[in-house]
Amino acid sequence: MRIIHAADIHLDTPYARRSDAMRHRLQAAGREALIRLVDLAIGEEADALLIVGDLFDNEWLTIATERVLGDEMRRATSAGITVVYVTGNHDPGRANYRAMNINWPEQGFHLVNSRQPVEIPIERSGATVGFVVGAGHQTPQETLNLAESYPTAPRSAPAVAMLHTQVTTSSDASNHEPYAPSSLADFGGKGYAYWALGHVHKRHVVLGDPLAIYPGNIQGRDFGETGAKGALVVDLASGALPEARFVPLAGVRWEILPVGDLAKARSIADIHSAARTAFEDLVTSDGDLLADQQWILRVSMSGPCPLVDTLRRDEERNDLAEYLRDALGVLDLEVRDDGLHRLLELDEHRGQQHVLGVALDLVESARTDADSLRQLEPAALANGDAYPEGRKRQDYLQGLLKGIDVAVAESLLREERE
Amino acid sequence: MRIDSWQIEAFGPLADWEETDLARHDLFIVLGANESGKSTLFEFLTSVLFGFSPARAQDHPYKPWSGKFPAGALEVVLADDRCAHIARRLTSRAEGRLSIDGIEDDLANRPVPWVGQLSRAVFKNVHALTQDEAFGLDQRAWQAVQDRVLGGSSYDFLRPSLEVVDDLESRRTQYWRPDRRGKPQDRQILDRIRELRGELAPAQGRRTRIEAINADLTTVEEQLHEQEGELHQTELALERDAVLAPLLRRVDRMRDLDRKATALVASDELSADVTADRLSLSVMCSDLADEIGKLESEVEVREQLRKLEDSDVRLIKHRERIERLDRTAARAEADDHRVQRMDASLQRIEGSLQELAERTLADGRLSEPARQLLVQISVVELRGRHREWNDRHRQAVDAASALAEAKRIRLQQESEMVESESDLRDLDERLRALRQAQLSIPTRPPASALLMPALTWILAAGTFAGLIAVVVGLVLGGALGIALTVVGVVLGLVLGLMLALYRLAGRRSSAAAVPLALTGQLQSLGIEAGADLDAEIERARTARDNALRQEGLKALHERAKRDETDAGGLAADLKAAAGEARSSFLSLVAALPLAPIHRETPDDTLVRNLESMHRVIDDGRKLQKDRDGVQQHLKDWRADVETLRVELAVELSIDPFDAVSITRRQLETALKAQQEAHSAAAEIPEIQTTLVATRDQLVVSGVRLEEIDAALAALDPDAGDPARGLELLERARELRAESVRARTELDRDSADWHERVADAERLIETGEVIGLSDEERVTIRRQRETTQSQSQDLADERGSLRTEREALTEIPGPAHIAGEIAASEDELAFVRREHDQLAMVQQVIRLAEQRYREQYQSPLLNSAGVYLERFTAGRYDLLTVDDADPSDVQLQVRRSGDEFPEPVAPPLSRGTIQQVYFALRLAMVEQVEGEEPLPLFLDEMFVNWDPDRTASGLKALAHMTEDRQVLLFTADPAWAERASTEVGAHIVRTPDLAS
Repeated sequence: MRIIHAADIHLDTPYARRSDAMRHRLQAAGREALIRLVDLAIGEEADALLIVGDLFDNEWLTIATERVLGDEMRRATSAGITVVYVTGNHDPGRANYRAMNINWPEQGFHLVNSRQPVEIPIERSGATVGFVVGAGHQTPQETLNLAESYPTAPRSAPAVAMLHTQVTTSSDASNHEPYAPSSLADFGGKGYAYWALGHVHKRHVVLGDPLAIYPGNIQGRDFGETGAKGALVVDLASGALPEARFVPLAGVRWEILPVGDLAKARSIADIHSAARTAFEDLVTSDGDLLADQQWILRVSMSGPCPLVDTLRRDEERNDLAEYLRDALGVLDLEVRDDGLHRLLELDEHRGQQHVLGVALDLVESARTDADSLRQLEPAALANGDAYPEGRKRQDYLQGLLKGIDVAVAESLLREERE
Repeated sequence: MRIDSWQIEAFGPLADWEETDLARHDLFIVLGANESGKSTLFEFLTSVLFGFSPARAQDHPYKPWSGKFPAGALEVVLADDRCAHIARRLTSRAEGRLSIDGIEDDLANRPVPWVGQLSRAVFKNVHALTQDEAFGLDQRAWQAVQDRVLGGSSYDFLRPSLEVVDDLESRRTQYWRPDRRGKPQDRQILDRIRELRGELAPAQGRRTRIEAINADLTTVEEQLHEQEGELHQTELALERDAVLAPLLRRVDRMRDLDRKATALVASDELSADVTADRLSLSVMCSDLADEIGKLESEVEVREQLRKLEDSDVRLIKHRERIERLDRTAARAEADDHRVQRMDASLQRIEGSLQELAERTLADGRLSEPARQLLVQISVVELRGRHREWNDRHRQAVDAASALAEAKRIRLQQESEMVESESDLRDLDERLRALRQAQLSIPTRPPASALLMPALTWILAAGTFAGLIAVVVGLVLGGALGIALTVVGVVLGLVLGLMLALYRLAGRRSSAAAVPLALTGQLQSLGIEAGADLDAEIERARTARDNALRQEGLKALHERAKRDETDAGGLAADLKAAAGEARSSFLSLVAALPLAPIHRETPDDTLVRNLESMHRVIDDGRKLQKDRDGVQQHLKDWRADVETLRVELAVELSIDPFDAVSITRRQLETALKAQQEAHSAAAEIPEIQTTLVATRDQLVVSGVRLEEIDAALAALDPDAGDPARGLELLERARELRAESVRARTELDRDSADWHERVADAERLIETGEVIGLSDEERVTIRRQRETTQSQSQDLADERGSLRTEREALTEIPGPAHIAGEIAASEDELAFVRREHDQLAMVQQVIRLAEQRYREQYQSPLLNSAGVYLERFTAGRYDLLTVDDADPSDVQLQVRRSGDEFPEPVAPPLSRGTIQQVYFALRLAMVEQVEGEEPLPLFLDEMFVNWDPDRTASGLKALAHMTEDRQVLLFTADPAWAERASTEVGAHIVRTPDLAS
């Protein structure tokens, strides 16, 4: 049995703080990714298309999205593909939820919006080639472990379990709300060949046997969702481990472009050259690009730069962003100062008998010695409540040490006049 | 470490500067004007010790002015007395070599080992002191300096720690504050989040309302749909009544007409207009018959035209000849005229010949043999021989003339020749003797030599007389006196002249005397004594000249005789040659019967006449030949015309030219007739083809007419009358036409009437009623109006619901607000983190400041106190700090003998404060460097101090030199001298002063 595993499509995300034009483009990108998803299912001759929750971002649904959804789902079912959609925390199965009123295809489409798992046979040419079992969120904040209620998998053919869940031990779990929580132990012992998960937007394998994967969302929405986004093509055969293959679907790629080699930048042309080099390296090294790939970049500048005073001004960075956007030919671009500083020779001052030398020594000690670190703790922390005493506070302070030697040196050293 | 020597190859403005033997000087002064390179020297020494910074030649601030690479070397003596040689060069990369104890080490761009951990920046700050640093210290500046020096920021590249902490505090509190003061970004974001959260509930309410509107809209849509259904039914019934029923009636009528027409005529296969067809066929048959008649007559006419006359045939047969003769007639006529002209020319030629013959030949007549001879004579040969003869004859004549002339000259010379009485030699001897005798006579002055004496006498006499006259005149005066003066002068001149002449005569007379010794000689010559010797000499000369002339004449005579002989021979030869040439010429014309005079004296006239006759005869022959040729052509042409006349067997004009012209015209006429015959022959087949087709058409039309009549007769089954059959046909057709009109109207009024009729018939079959009564119609219409009104109300309600929903959709919904909240929370986290990081930086700096003081401040103050005591000559002996208030640490100094220290601040004098500053700086030097003491560089130190302070400062320096070498830079020569005198400083001059 071949399935297409997708999740967290988040159609009609509001994209707050974006311009109207950009919002429209990004919302259209979500719909375009959905169309590519159906193209993929048809092109791969899949038996089933699994959408594991958060198909919608919220209760608001545009006419364009409603129309595309209906058309695409009908296109998939018309091609003989069984579509199974389980609800998530963003699109729970409330009766008056607008998504529930969409004109879904009558044949071949299954909407699972209840906590009770539903078993759906997948057929090809009149024969059952597999089973899909899924349960959906009924409310926006499910607290039950829905995985516990999944029955034992049928044995006559490969079975796939669909669940929109927060596996508490998965990476990036801290960035998501713990709705419908589950654990790795819930996945074993039920006989499912594959757990098709949803909720965490970062693609990664949670468990190897049975194989449980978060495919990530099919279209990134901000700079926390960078990299290739798409769906998985999963081939299941009785008695064999499933094989999962990633296929990119996102027409708009969010990426953070680190630009650190600015020590010799004397003009905007130098910054452009550095940014272009970094961008070209990114493009050439990435094998998951679409033919008409568009980009939204965050140029993250760090390190020594002669133009640091200019680049620390918001209006200058905005102008630079506009220039780089046009020069690199990307959809949108922002410029961030993530550690720009003056040209400094820190090593020259380490160990010297002056306050800067002593300060650098203190910072160095604090990186490895907890007591030294504690001595550097400010009297009042703005994030003090978020990081109470203990390991978390120590980790937080340790995180603050990053780049602090440069900040100290920048503060103490007078600016050189050329 | 002590500097012993430096070699600066190129460094900034300095080039090729070498100084040696410096290590033995603890203190030396670099004396140079401003901008002469003192600071450059310091930079050079720093670069040698620490390496180049920056390490690229093109970026280095001290690129040599000469364009070379920065390069140089330093020799130093270390504390353990080892000598080290350091060489540096900065090209595309920095190079450095260190030699100690013969061991070389590649330094690259690293500092020399003995500087230890001391950085370049610290070295430049600490080991270089300038007067400016403390010269202008006022209270505020000193406070800043104090903070720096006492803190760890006592370098000019570091900002004071307190100042930095204050700045950070200012920045940090913009992000977040623990208290409620101000409006940091954190609080602003929290306020914004609070507002957004407050908007959530209303947004949810709007969302709920949108859902309710959607449900209401669904209900309204359903009701509208139901209403539309009812309306549709009423409309349907009315439409059936209004449209279908009348339609059915029309269709029934149309079908009835078709039935009636079929009853009259079951099958109508005839054309639409049979009557017209019958009439047209009849007319056509008649026309075809007429056409056939015309075609037949045309064929007959053309048959006639095909035949030609015999005469025309003959003319056409000889067409080529006639045309040829016609073409050549003009030429024949021209030839005829030409022959006549030729004959005239021949006559003229003959006349010319005759005339020439009369002048040239003996009988004045040119016979045929003579004509032949003339033709055979080569004119070129004739002319050539005659010319030869002429030339020879002329030469002979010239030779004869020359001979006659030679003879004449000879004769003349003979007549001039006279026999000389004396030999020429004798005459020469005589003349010579006479001259010799003359020479013996005293020289008589020449007349010219007597001129001056004569003039002298004249003037003297004249002057004497003049003087006398003047005196007398003056005495007498007036006119008489003047007259006497003039007379006196004239008389004087006359008298002088007479005296001069008298003297001349006497001289000459006396000069004529001949000495006696020569008298005998002269007698031998036949000259008597007393003879005029001059005359004798003259005679002798003349005789000699004559003798000479005669001698010349004799020579000429001899030559003349020879010339005459030669001329005679030449004349004879030339005469013989002329005779031969004449004979040769005459041989050419011997056979001609020339006139005797020409034979005797054949001159140019004869030659010209013969040439003319030759040419004329030749021309005449050519002309005759041409004439004969033309005449033959003409004759042939005429014979051809005659032959044509016979063959044509027609009477033609005697004049052949007229005959040819007439015949030509007749030929044209015959050709025209021939062309017409050909055209007629070509047209006949076509006409006959047309004739056949026309006949066929006539047959067809006749058959068709018969068929129509038969068909019409068949329509009348009783009588078989075509007329009756026609009437029935017309009636049936009228009925069908009406049916067609009805169908056309139906098609126009309702394109789909077929389907409608089919539907109506199906409805009727199912029992539906298509038509309505009047009452039924009214009832249904009222029902429709009611339904429409209800639908409109529902549509209005739907519109208002949609409008409300659109308005609600415009406002950001919960998801949008949630997104804003999420973004704000991210921003809040960022701001707080920024704050925390700034706070940590603050904490690091505070802690570092505290640690620095703990570790380094106390030793520094102790060492500074020692220097201060030296500077102040013991007036102050202790430096300490008052750090009771950490935010306001104050430096204190204790006067010797006092119990408590006082702040280093006014009323302490500026000079004392400066001394404290320098003491601190010098203490720092010791603090920062390692085991190898490095040189100290002082720039214009003490220059502006008062003498006492300067002296104490110099003494302090002297103490410092116990530990290290000190270099003082100054532009003041007087101060340099003073330092040299008081503390033994060695003076080194920068290159511009040294040169």
